[in-house]
Amino acid sequence: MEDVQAELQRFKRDTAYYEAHYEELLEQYSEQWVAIYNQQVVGASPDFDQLLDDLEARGVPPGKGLIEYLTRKEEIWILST
Amino acid sequence: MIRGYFSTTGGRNRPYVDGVFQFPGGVTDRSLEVRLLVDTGADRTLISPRDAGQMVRRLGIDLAALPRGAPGAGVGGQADTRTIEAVLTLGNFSVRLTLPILEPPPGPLPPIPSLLGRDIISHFALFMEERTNRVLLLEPHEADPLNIPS
Repeated sequence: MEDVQAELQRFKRDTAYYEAHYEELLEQYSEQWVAIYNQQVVGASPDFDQLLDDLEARGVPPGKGLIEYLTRKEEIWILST
Repeated sequence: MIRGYFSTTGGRNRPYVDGVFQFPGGVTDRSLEVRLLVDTGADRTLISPRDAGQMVRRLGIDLAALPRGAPGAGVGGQADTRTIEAVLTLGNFSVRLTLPILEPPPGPLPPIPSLLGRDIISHFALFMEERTNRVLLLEPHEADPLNIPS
């Protein structure tokens, strides 16, 4: 089992990769879900379930990595719980 | 100190922190890495439908078998929740919590992220400054010496 601190540090590198490459990711994968693991794009699909299937097929460990939806559409979120 | 950051999604800059949820009690390593939207309007930290989808599809967690939680009420209406015991790790801070999960609606998933609510934010002093891309969660021993006027 991966130590949680090591896992968190790896995940932070994945989110930092996403931030550093946001514009080119948006250019390439606009209106798609994109998955990043170990600082690499490991899957992309307009369909979330399809992306999860692809990640499983490629052996990406469950629950690991960053999944984000890339869109050029402006959205306003008003949230509360 | 826990460092977050501002990130652009859907044309908007929003504050996030990275975290890991662990779900004790399973026979396998069950953890979920998430970016949590820092939401001072949220009473509770919660798992969004998209991250719930990962829990169901990839971690094998059966939402229907989990206890029902209080409905989540937002500007857009109410949503059903389930709850699960979890440990959240942010930086060097870990806390056990009963975590609400928003049940995924039928059809396409909204891209809304999971939320870091005031149940966790209240452990810290929160500093956010978009101009300098700073999102800081300060522990009491870090915030008190700043002598910020009350």
